[in-house]
Amino acid sequence: MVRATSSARTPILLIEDTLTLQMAYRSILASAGHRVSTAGTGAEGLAQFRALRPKIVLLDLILPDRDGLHLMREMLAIQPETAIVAITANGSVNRAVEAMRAGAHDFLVKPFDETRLLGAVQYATSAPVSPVVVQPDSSVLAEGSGFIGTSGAMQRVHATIGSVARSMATVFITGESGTGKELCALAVHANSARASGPFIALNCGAIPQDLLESEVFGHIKGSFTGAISDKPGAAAAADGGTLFLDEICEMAPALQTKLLRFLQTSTVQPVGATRPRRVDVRIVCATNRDPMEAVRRGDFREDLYYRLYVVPVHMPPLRDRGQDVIEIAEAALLRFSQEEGRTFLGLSPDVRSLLSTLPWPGNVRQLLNVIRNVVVLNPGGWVIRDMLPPGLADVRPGAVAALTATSNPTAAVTETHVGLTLAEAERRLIEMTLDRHAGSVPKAARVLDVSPSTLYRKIESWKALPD
Amino acid sequence: MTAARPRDFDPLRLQWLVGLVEGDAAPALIAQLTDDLRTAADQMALAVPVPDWLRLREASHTLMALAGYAGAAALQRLAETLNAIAHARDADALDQVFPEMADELSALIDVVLNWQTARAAPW
Repeated sequence: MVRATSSARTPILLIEDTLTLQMAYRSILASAGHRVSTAGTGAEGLAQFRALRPKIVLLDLILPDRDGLHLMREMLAIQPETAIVAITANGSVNRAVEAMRAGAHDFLVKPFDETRLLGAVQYATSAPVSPVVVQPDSSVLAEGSGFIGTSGAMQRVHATIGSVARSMATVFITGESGTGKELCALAVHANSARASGPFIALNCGAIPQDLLESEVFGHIKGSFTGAISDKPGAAAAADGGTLFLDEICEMAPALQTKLLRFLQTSTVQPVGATRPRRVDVRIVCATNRDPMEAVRRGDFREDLYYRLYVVPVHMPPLRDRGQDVIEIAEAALLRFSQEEGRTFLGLSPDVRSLLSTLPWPGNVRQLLNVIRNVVVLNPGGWVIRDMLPPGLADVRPGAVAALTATSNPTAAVTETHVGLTLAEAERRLIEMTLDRHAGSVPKAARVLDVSPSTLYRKIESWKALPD
Repeated sequence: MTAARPRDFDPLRLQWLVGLVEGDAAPALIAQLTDDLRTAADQMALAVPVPDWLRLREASHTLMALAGYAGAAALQRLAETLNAIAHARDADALDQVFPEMADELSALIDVVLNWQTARAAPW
C-alpha cells in the first residue's frame, strides 16, 4: 500500500454513486491517512463541496441525478483552484478526455488499483493547479508564431493554439510530414506562461530505442556501458518549460509505460538513480501517423493515448491550404533572396498557377526546398517555369492518394482497393464486414478487432458526409 | 448445485477487491457488491424490452466497472459492448448481445454469493 505523505490531511471529497466502489476507494484513501467525505449523487456532492471546500475532488462522471461534467464546471466556478480527478469506466474514456479539456486536473479509468488512485491524489496535492484562463481573443495568435498563411484551415489552427496555449493541457499535434508540427509546438510554448522556460524537442523516431530512455529520463554516471557522466535527460531539461515529443507513436512499448508513469506522477527517475525527482513540464507531442490506428494495432498504449490526446491540433496538408501556397512561396523567395544575395521580382503568373495546383506530398518543407533551389541556381528576375526543379510539374494530384496508401506498408490493400484513399478503403472493408454479418456491429467489431464503439463512431461520421 | 463460473474470470481480482476493506467490513462490501450487481441486472432487464437506452447506458456503465473490479473480464467486455450499443441505439445488436451478458452477470452474482456464504473462495 502506498502511504500518504504531506497530503495526508488534505480533505478529499469522493463523489461516486456505485456504493461498492465508494466503499473500496474510501478504504484505500483512509488507509493511506486521508480524510474523506463521500457523496452518492451530484446534489449531495455539490452540497458537501460548498460546505467543505475541499482541495481535491474525486468525481465519477456518470451520476444518477446530473451530468458529472456540468457538476465539475460548477465546482470549478465556485473554487477554481480545486483539483478535480475525473473518474470514468473503460469504454467511456472519451468522457475523461472531455473532462480534461474542461479543466479536470487528472482522470482515472475504472478499474484502477490503489497505487494509481493514491498517485492521482498525491499528484493533485503537490502539483500547482492552474485555474482555467480564458483568453481575451483566442482567434488571434500572438506574433512570432512563425506561421504564414491566412487560409480557413490555418485560422482554425491559430484559434486552437491561442485558446490552449496558456493552459497546462497536453497538446497532441497530428499532420503529414512537412506540415509544420514542430512550429506549432513552438507556437504553443511561445504563447504560454512558460515561454521564458526551456523548449526541449525530442524526436522519438530518430533516436535508437535503446538510448531513448536515457535521452528522455537521463542517466547516472556508470549506470550502463558508455554512461561516462550524469545526463539529466530531456524531461528534466524541460523543467519549467515544454517538452516536445515528436513522432510519439514510434516510442517503444516499454518506454511508453515509463512515459505514462511520468505523466501520472510528474517525477523522473534517471537510469541508475535510486530516487525520483519531481519536475514541472508541459507535454506537447506530435505524430504523422493516425494515433488511434496505432492504438488499434497495439503499437501505442490506449491509456497513454487518452492521457496525451487532450487537445488535438491537426496541421492541414499544404494542398488543403488554398492560397497559402503562394503566400509561403513569396515569403520564402524574399527571405532566401536576401540570404543568397540575389534579386528576384516575384513569381510569374504561370508559376503561381502551377504551384497552386500541385499536390505537395512533402508539404511546406517541399515547397521551401523548391524555392531554395530556384534562388540558388538562378541569377534573379521573375521566377518562371523553367527555373523550377526538373520533374516538379510532373507530380499530379493522383500521386497523393498513392503516397497516402503506400505510407502504411502493413496495410492489407487488395487489388480492388488500389487507387482508393485509406479512409475509403477502410470504409469499404467495414461495410463489407457488416454485410457479411447481417449488419451486426458487435460481430463485425469482433472480426475487425476493434471496439463496437469505434465502429458506431465511424458509421455516424459517414452519415454526416455528402453522398 | 454448482453455478457456472464466469468466463475469463480472475478470482484474485475479487480477492483483492474484498481485501481493500478491513476484516470486519469485508462482508459488508461483498453484500454491497451483490446488491450493486443485482441492481444493474434488474435495471437492464427492465430497460431491454422497451428499450430504454438511457437506463441501459447507466446500468452498463456501472457494470463495466464492477465486472472489471471483480475480475470478470468477459462480462466487462460485454458490458462495454452493450454500452456502445446503448449509445448507438442499435436494437438488433442489443438482442444479440444481451442474453450472453445476462448469463455472465448471473454467473458472477452466483460467485459473489458463494463467496459471501463461505467467506472464502469456492474454487
